Amino acid sequence: MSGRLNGMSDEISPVDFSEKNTFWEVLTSEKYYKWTLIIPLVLVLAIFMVYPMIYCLNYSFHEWGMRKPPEFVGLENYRDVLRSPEFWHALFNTFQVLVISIAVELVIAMGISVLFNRDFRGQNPIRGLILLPLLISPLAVSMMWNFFLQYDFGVINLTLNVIGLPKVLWFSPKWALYTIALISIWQWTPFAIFVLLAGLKSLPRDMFEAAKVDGASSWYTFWRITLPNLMPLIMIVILLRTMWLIRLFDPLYGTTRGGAGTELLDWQVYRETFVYFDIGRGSTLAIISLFLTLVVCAVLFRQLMKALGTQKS
Amino acid sequence: VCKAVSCFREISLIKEVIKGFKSPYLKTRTIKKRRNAVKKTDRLIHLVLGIFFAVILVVTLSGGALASEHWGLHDIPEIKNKQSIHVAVFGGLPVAEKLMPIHMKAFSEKTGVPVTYEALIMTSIYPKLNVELLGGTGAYDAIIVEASTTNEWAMYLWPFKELAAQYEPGGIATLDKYLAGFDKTMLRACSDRNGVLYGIPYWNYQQFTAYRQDVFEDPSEKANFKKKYGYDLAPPQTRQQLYDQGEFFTRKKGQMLKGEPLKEDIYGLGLMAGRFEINDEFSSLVWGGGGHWATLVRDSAGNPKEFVITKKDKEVLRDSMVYYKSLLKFASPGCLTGHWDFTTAQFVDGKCIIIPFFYASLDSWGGSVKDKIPGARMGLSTPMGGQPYVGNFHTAVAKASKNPEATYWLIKYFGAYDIQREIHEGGLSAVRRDVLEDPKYKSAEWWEVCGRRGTANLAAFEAQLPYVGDYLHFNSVAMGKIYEMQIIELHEAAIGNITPEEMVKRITRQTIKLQKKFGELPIREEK
Repeated sequence: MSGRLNGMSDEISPVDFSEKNTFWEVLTSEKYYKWTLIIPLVLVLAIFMVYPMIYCLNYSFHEWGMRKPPEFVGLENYRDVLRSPEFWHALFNTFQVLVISIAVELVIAMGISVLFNRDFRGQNPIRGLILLPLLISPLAVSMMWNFFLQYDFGVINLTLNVIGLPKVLWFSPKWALYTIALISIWQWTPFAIFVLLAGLKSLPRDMFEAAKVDGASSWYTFWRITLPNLMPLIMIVILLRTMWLIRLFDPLYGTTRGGAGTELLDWQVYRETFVYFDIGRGSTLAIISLFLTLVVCAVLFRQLMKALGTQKS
Repeated sequence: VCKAVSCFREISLIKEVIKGFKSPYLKTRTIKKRRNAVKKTDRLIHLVLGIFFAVILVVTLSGGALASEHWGLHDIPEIKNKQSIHVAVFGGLPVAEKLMPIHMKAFSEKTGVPVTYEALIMTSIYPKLNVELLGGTGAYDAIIVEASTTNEWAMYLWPFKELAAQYEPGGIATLDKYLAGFDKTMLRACSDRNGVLYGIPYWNYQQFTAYRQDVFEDPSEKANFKKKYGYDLAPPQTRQQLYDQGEFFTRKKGQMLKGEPLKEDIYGLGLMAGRFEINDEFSSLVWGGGGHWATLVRDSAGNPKEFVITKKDKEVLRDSMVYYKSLLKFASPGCLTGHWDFTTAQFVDGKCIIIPFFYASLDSWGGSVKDKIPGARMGLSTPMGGQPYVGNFHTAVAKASKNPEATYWLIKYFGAYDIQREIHEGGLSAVRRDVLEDPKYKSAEWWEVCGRRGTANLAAFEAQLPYVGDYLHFNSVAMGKIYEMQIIELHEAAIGNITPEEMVKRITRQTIKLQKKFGELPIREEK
């Protein structure tokens, strides 16, 4: 009996089907080992992702309010959603928040990570503190900011008042969407900081030393060496944040609840599905949201691959 | 006890007799004399003890009679089904959160039925319970129902009288006797459009007008108001009065209030135009303005036949929005995203003078203005129009319950007189008339605690009773959805994203769409 049978050996050998192999031998053979490792994950994904997705897709072709049996309506829900001005408004809002958040986060994160790339006294506690917003539940963050930004009682307006500035109606129809973006930026900029900082730390020093010897300015070094080298990580940040921002929900729950012109795509999905219990329409919106995420992320993924390819070459 | 005393005396006597045999001086006569004396004493003791026990008996019986005047825990009969029950209770509502577990424990101890519970915050009650009920999961035996979803959930709940017929030793008549203590408006809110009762009310969210009574009674304010508007300053009864008062009390820092210069700007009104419960304010405006969200049409037998969104309904809704927007200039800009917590906090902080639409159960918090501002007092009155937003949260038995018997008794117990009294005194607005009408709450000691609220509650219930049966809220199966839609459209109009006319069109269109999709009664628009 081989050592593999009792799991003592980590040697992987081709399976010989001429002999009668045990199940364990087949699983750990060279040919099937990769599948052995991947199948549990595929199963979990199938149960928790693929099945609900198919379920959702199925109901997007039905009208179903849960009280009566679902009724097949074909593409009626899609037609209905795509014709609705509320949907386009929510979509536009979502992309506005997405663009603003990612742009601001990257600029701030780049600046802070370049600063943090130098050694300074107390660097570890400060880096730890910067990480704090990421550790708070997004819903708690939105409620906290709702209190901070409250017109009459919020600490921000009280502070503005103390220094002689007028109070700001942060959740007015004019500003509310930007305030929502601000809350998201506050929470997620640390994520970008740490990704970029890790990238900066891993860049080879000889490139920078050579640029210094050649007399390159700091700006030139940043623009020509640092930024191109960080491009794959920037793309990763953009990719992940895009996925998360298309599904942005929590900042709305604790603040405007979609009011003051801040209804985003995911809030609409929530409202249709869990407030109106219009499962057909809610599923349609969810599928559209998923489709949009996939398209945008596919484009970004190509860019990421390109950036990685450029870096290799 | 008498026997024991007699025995003791006999033994003493026998002892003496025995002693007497030993003593040469003891005569039989003496023994007889002593025996007679002992008999007399015994008779006296018998009499005293008899009186004593008679008094005890009378007190006990009369006490029992007093206790049985109101149905309570001690009246729950032996429950055959001992399977544990799971209850959805109110989360984020301090009084209910404190009392409900205590009462569930007491119920459990009395009946031997284990009770577990789960607190649901307001915003999660509908989505969470809707899924569980419609899915027939049986996750909850007892649930909390917001009155406007009673019709929607009726088919997943046990009609309460059906359970009474099954479990009450005295049948439905016993339940009717118990229900007599409740306010009729409250019972209607727990019933479907055909009047079938599905639950027992627990607390109500009737709207009042809250105002600074100290300001309204201040001589200088009264005189200035009369001089400017030509009539006496009193809680607003008409739209014009509320407008005038909103304008009158909106003041800048440095201006005077009650003869004192203001340290900061104050607003005449506190409104909640945020996307949360603005539609409750509008229910008060629409109903009080003589309109309906949709008018209920009944057939010749008086049964609900259809809803019609009449021209008048649309007109009243449009006018209400135009009026509401005119009030916004007398409220803090923060009200555009504010909810009830914002308006109440403003009131308590002295930042506004009147909250035209103020939920009953916020009375304790609103009343705390007296602790924050010296001399301040809160007054409550029925809002203008006299038909303010009304409703309640009640508890009901899920059809999928594994133990409807125990759940029935628990829910009945939640509505018991003693519990409602605790709720009322604890700061939550009760639903039993016999509790609210208790004269003791009119006393100075109780007035601020709950008397003021109870009195205002009774007045509002009385005013609403003739109309409550016709409100869309208590007749439409789709009301849970229509309610949410109203919030969105009203908020959009209040913040100026759409015009009042556009809002009316949208609300009309969507009410019809939702009623047709999820409702049961037909609906149409009067063009």
